[in-house]
Amino acid sequence: MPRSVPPTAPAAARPGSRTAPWLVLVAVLVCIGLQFGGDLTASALALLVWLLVLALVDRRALRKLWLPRFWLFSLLLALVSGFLLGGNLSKAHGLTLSRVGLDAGLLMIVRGAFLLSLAAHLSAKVKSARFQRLLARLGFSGFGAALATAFALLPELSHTLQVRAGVWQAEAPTWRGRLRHFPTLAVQLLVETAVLAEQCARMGSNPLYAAELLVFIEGPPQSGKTRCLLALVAALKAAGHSVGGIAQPAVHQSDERVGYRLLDVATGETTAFAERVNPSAPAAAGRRYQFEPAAFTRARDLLQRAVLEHPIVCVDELGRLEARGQGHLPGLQQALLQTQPRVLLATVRADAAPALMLLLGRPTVTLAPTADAAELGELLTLIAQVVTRLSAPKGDAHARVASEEWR
Amino acid sequence: MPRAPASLHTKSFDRERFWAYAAAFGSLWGTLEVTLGAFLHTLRLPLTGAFLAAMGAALLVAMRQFYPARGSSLAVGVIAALLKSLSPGGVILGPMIGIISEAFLVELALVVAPRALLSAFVAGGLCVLWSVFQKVLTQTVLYGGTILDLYLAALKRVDQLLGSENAGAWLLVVCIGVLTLLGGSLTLVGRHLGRKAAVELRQQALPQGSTHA
Repeated sequence: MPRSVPPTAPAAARPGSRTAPWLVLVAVLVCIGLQFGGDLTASALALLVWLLVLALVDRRALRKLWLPRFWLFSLLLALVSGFLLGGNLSKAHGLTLSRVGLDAGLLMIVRGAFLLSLAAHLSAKVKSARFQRLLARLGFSGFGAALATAFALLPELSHTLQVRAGVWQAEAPTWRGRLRHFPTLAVQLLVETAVLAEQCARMGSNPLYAAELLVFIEGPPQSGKTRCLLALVAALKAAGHSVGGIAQPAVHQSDERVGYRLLDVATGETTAFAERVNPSAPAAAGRRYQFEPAAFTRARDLLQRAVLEHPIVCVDELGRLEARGQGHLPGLQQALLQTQPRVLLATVRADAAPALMLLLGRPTVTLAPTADAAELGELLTLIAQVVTRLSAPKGDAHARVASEEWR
Repeated sequence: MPRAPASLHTKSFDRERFWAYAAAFGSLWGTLEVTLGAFLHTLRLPLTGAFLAAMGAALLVAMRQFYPARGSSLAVGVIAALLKSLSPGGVILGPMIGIISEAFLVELALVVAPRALLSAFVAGGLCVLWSVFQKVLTQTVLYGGTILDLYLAALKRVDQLLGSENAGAWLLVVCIGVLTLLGGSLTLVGRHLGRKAAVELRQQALPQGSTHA
């Protein structure tokens, strides 16, 4: 049986993911070749071609080019080069300008625009799942764990900084007083960070790696991740397994998604979780839904109970919010620090998967929401094996060896 | 100096400790970049990049006063840079390269004597110089060699305005010297604070002094 089921999302969900990179690479090389010839017309042509390519494959990178200050500065540079560089001076509105200097300035702007758009495209690639997986495959295990820990520590350190800064300002209202108190504040911050590092070292760099079987159901929004999770849960319950945790089924009204409910997977009880308040807001801005005030607290309580009572725990809708250390993540981290479930099933948004992989560990199995019955059956058998083998008494050497095999 | 229990002084624990320090201080540097950096950039103050570079160097030098493990500054820098890469935003390659380069320069400056006064000063000076150099380098890559011609022409114009040969070049040298001095001084403050923190940590009886790397 394969240890990992590769995602099999439909081609429509990942436009151009197989062919486009090679075409883009060819376009990049051709454009670079044209760009560095030093001819203004060839450079402008290369820029035009590259912008067209971006319009086809990466519109987000095009939007990143909206940088008024940068363009103003570039324009200023072109004008200044008209005054300062080259011969062939001519008078325009009483000012002495050089045609050669202006051409050089324009070439700088064209080249700047090309490289900036290239950088905007490459920046997204650095953040992409493929790049992050490549890092993981290169075997930076200690490094990966440290990065995950650093990410998990960010909210705590931000909070510590805010608290310390607040105390600093309250204790010393004048600038002179604040300057005098600054060394104490800085030393306290250094000591607290060092103590945190020592605690992390004692715990092991990342305590969240310990789930025996970590399953990511990974896919883009509205690709059926929750449906797939609930189908798995139903099959596991039917097979007599004890499953806990949370899911977030969508609420529809006349084929339109109007909100989410929070489902206690163990009991089947649901409560309100989020309601759509602003349908026109972009999904990425996170303002489309209004969350129930106590929703995340209830989700955290359910997760904490689930890890204590069930060997199989599921968590739904891990996305960008969780990748930034918010949403369900603090609750999940708290729960996992109490004890480790044997199997953790998580639905994960594809664009947040790399960051979540660093926070929770590499999944043993990655499943696409469109997985067929054979793949689901394979996963169910795997889960059953892990749960059954680990249910053996502690002294059972065979069970311990078997459990190590899954790591 | 109080030591950790013998059982904790294994190679594996040293490795855990190395990465734990990299994670904690990388996270602290990332937090400072996000909070203080955003604040300074919003104020549109000049030389914000140079100040942040000096602050980063000061933090690394401070850490090396109580955790002098070789390679830790570079590891902290790489973690901080990757935290920056995961944060939402536009073009992040520049700041990432900047943070990693600064960490590399600090590591280089501290390689022989991580706790020495001179090493700390050199580390700060190098980082501030790099932040200025990186700006020019980025502009050269972005706009081509013409931008250097433009700067040279501007220097010549300064010569003409001040009525003295090489006045522009001297002005540039003085500016760079002042910046280096400020960067070095800030890192010396970092070293001083790091030593105070080391004393406090010794009083709290934390295990220290691992230099495995």
